[in-house]
Amino acid sequence: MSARLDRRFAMLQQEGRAGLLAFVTAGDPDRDGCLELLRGLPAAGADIIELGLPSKNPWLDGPVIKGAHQRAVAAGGDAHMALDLVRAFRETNQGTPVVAMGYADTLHRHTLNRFFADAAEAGVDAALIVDATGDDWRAWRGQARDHGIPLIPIAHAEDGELGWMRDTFEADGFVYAVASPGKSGGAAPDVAEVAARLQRLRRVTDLPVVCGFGIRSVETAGALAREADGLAVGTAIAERLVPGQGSIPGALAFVTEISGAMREAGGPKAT
Amino acid sequence: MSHQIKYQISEREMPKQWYNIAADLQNPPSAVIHPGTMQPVGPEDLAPLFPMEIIQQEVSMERFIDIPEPVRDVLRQWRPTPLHRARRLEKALDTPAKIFYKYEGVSPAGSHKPNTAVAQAFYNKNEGVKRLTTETGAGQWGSSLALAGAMFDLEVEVFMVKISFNQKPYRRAFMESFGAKCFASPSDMTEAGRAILAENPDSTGSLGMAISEAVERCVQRDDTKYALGSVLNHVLTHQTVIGLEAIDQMEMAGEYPDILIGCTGGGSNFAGLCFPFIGQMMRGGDEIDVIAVEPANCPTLTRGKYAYDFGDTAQMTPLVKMHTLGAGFVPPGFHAGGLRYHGMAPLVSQLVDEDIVRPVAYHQTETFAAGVAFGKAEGILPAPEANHAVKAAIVEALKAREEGKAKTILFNLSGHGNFDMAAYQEYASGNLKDEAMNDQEMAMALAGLPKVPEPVAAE
Ligand SMILES: Cc1ncc(COP(=O)(O)O)c(C=O)c1O
Repeated sequence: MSARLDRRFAMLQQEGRAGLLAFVTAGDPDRDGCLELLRGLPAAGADIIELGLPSKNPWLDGPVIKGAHQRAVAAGGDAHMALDLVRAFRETNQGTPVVAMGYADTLHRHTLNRFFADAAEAGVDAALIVDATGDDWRAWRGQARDHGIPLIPIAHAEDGELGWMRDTFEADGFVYAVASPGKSGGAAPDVAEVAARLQRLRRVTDLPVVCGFGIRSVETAGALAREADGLAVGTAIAERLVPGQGSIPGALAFVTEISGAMREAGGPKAT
Repeated sequence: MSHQIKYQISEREMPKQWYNIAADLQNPPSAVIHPGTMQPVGPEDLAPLFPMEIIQQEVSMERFIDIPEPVRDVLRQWRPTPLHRARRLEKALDTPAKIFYKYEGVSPAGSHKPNTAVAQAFYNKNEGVKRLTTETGAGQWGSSLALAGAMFDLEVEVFMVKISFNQKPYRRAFMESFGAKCFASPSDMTEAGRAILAENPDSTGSLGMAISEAVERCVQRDDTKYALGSVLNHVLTHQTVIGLEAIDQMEMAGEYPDILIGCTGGGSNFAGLCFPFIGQMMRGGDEIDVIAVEPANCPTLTRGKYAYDFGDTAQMTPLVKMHTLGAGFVPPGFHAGGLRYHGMAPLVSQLVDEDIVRPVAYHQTETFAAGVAFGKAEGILPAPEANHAVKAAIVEALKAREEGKAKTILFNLSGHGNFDMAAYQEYASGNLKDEAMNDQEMAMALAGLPKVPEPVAAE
């Protein structure tokens, strides 16, 4: 569906490594800072960017990303600003896929159909609605697809094979597997448990499998890099953007560090 | 009763006749050809292998054939088998589809195979035969013939494909407990086996090779006949008790299938469920989407050629027109042993060729994923062969959900997987792989097909 996304996963497979999906919230720490961050991410080692759409009620996120949303909202961030940032990013970057990641609430405010159309025009390559139920996903997937945007399905641990079959049937783009249940930025996942689960998930879907939620340390990323086609890291980046505690160069340096560990670990074992 | 799970009919309602689809085919079945004369075989050509009653059934054009009372009497030990509504699976898939399965795993051997084993043992006993030889892939057929041999007091010799022999020691123990002898094939007991071993000492075997060995052992002795567990017309006919029962049971459930699904190795369980329904369709009944599911690594119907070929590796059998990958084709060693056959039942092939049956192929890991998921919902771990049917049923149920249509799906759960735990263990530990097909090997095996002058119509 999305050529840029497909090309990126094909490249990763060729290089035999898992991709790093760097999550940042649009407008964090502010618009210009965010653009600087976005522009720096590919060189720092991010293979795909997940751009969070600012939400007033990011109820699935832990305190760190909640803080990022608050900063972004305070800086005037919303879905419009997020797409503006993508347009600005695309002026200098055509290769790095951008996944728009938001709450249903935010998207509805934009009206869903309008959002997918605008997103495609701005240069977004896929969308992920974090709080979509399976039914929502099915209802919205077609609208997204009409604009050439894959709507990424989420595979929850508790759904098991049947649930995954149900929720990834006829999906495109990739599958997002939740590493640890609960809110983002929670406890570090049990690597062995997640690895076994990802292996089961891979037999249910041919799509690339990306794993996220709870991957904060270089060690966890290194260990899981051998199990997934991509790892999403968010909280650990947002942590380094808290005013007074971190900085944009600091956040980018961390991305370089974690991407280095993943490259060293090598790619997914499974085919 | 609403929310009923199992639809069961009584022993008295068990079918008294088999259904023979040859009577309803638009085009006559292709003749079986003698490779020496290139002429259609006659009963005398088959007499060394099969009892006369079976030979007559093989060429019969009668729509219904009486099931002998002694056969019904043994079948009654587990028949009629239950028809299940897979309500828990439907719920887990959140599908509007109604999913039914006919469960053949309740037989003593754990699959549909005894349906014909019992009948074949009876006819052989009736004609004074003392010993039966056969081949087995997964061990399901060997177990079934061992069981039937014990019921009718016949000696049974089973040549078991070597890879399965090693993967499934308990299948051998099962056969031996019923008094049968079980050998790993290729073996050094036959010319055919020795020739294969001389060429490739590490051969993991194939159904084609095991058939060669069993046929060779059979023709050496007058008191010995051969029994085949699939492919041939009479075998498919014996299996139609499955579909005939299912027609009654679906009626009890107040439903009629829109989609029928069976896995295909040689075609017998598929035919057993589907032929009676296809017969209804051909006589003017409702349209049904009939799906034959095969392994992507032995893609007889989806990638094979519809042509005359031998049924075995050593080219000892007559030539039959079927979808084939070539008698020399050895599929990679995947776990659904019962689906590792290079050919297909000629009747099933003809229906595929006439677009009445739609073939599909799946890889083994996705079929195991489907089987495990099915087990978690319904409580039965299917045989690896049956996992192929389960996979297709799930795909169709999800399609129905996509389309928002309340389709009725009926599939054959041809056996349980309780003897297949080595395979499930490999699946759980992540060691199960989908080997790529060797296209070159396949092309070579197909290039070796015998040349048979066409067209040859049945007499
Ligand atoms: C449980 C089961 N299903 C299916 C098959 C495939 O054979 P057929 O296509 O003849 O039903 C086998 C063969 O061993 C089997 O054991």
